[in-house]
Amino acid sequence: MWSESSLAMVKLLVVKDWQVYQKQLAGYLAGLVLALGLIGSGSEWTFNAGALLLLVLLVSTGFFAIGQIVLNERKERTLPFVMSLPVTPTEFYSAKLLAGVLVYLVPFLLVVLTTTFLVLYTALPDGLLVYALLIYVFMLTSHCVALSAAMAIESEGWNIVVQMALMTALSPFIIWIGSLQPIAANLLTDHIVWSPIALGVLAGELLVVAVALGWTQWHHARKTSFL
Amino acid sequence: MSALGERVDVVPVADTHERIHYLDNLRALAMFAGVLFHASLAYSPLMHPFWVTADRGQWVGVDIAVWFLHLFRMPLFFVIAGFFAAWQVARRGVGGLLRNRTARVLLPLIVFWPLVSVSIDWLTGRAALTIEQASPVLEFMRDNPLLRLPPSLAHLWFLYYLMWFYLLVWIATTAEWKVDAGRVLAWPVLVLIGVAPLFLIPALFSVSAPTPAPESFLPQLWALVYYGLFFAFGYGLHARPQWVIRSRPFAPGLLLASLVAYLAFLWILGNRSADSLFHVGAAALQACVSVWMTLWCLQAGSAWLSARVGWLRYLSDASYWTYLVHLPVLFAIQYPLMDLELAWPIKWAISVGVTLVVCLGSYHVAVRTTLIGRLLNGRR
Repeated sequence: MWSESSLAMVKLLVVKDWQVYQKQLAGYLAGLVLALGLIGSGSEWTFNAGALLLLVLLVSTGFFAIGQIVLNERKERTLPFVMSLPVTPTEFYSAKLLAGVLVYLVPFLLVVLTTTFLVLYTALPDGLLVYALLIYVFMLTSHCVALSAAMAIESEGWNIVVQMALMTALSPFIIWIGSLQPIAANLLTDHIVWSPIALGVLAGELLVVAVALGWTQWHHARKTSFL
Repeated sequence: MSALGERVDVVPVADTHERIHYLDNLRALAMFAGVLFHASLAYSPLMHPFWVTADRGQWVGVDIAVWFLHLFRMPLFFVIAGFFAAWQVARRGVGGLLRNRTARVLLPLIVFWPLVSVSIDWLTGRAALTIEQASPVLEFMRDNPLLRLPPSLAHLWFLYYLMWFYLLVWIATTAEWKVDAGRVLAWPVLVLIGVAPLFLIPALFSVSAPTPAPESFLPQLWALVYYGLFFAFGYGLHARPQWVIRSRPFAPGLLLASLVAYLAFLWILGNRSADSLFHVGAAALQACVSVWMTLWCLQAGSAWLSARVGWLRYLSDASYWTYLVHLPVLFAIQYPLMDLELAWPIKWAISVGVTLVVCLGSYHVAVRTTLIGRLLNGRR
């Protein structure tokens, strides 16, 4: 169990990361407004451009957040300074993990809620919702895996490789779930159908999220020293 | 009262504590112009195929008046909203603006949208079944009873877009974008008057003319740009409120130029073609009328409405409530009128008069001193 002072310290570190991230979030929200504007413009090409921009923003904001919270601090040698603070390695790494997830969850939930609202309350086919949510959760999964890797791997080069691999996997994933008959059959209808296969994909994604975060927390919780 | 164009030596400055009464008064008048606008659409030949309460009685003069008003009424609202947003930021910071606007704009939108939407749907569904002299839209609904249109914001789209613009204010402030909208107002007045419409042309070019109401929950890019620029102008105006008075000598010219541009727009509208030159011309003329008439309204307001007038203040207080509820009230009156053998001006007068009586009466009895009044206007 964590003591009250440990929780306060973790909270302080998370708030610090959140404040550093706010400027980027503002830029992200500006992109979100533009993407929604493009989607709402009515023509096919603007709809596609807007939808793609949403995905690109979500991917890039996640990687930027990891860069800012984990990789940059490592590059700027913040660790010696952190070691001089009254904070344990467990508190520090837990705060990093929590901040990495939380700062991503803000734009992520914003996009998910906006998409859900728009799919349900505009002329867009409601059946699109399952497809869109599976893609979004895949992106959350990618973020959690990339965050986990960034906390485990010191090399910047290898982190870039992991992020590129995850980014590249998005397109095949979109094509793959679009080709799954129970999902594709309802894509352009107003029926929201959580077929067993769609639920299976969702469960798989959430399992990867749980394993990535759980393993990272477990791995760092064992550390008794920063070095 | 001062006349338009009169030299004013002492200029008011938008101090962070004093309200500028002419903007409050203009907002009240523009809100009530909205009731006239929506009531008139029933007798507009141009809107006859699209408007649910379209009556048999129509007159082309309605179109001429209504679309002129349409081109600057909403832009004026956004200028005023931008001004008061900057005023809020100066008083309470961006966080204060967001908290205040969430309570005054977002919450009323969330509360009133379902009520407005359900009541309009119910009235229209009932009218489709019962009205004998049905409008083309009602007839279409009667012929397609299973058709379900996606939910729309109806006239509350204004509040929806305001929230987007408040979010953009937060974004610009947090990202430290050095956008000084007030700097544009340092330009020579004539240059600004001439150049400003050019920024609106691309947005207006991308939609049909006259501009439709962006009622979808999906924000429309053209509306974000078009109304956003007016909002930004109003935001910048807060830093240089004396600009309105400085530009007053141009007021007669602006009015005249707007009327000429509007006549040209009407001519273009009457000779529609698929030619892109037609679209550019229509967009440019709408942009000119929008900008020039909005500026003229500000100039006229600062000259004639700058005092705190009791009845205008009351109307200003009642205007938000009137804006929120007027459309279902108007439809409830106009649907039964459609079957009556009356001349359209009489129907128009009845619908406007009764709508205003119901809105103002309900405001006085059930809103002004109650929780709803506090929700809409804050503590009085």
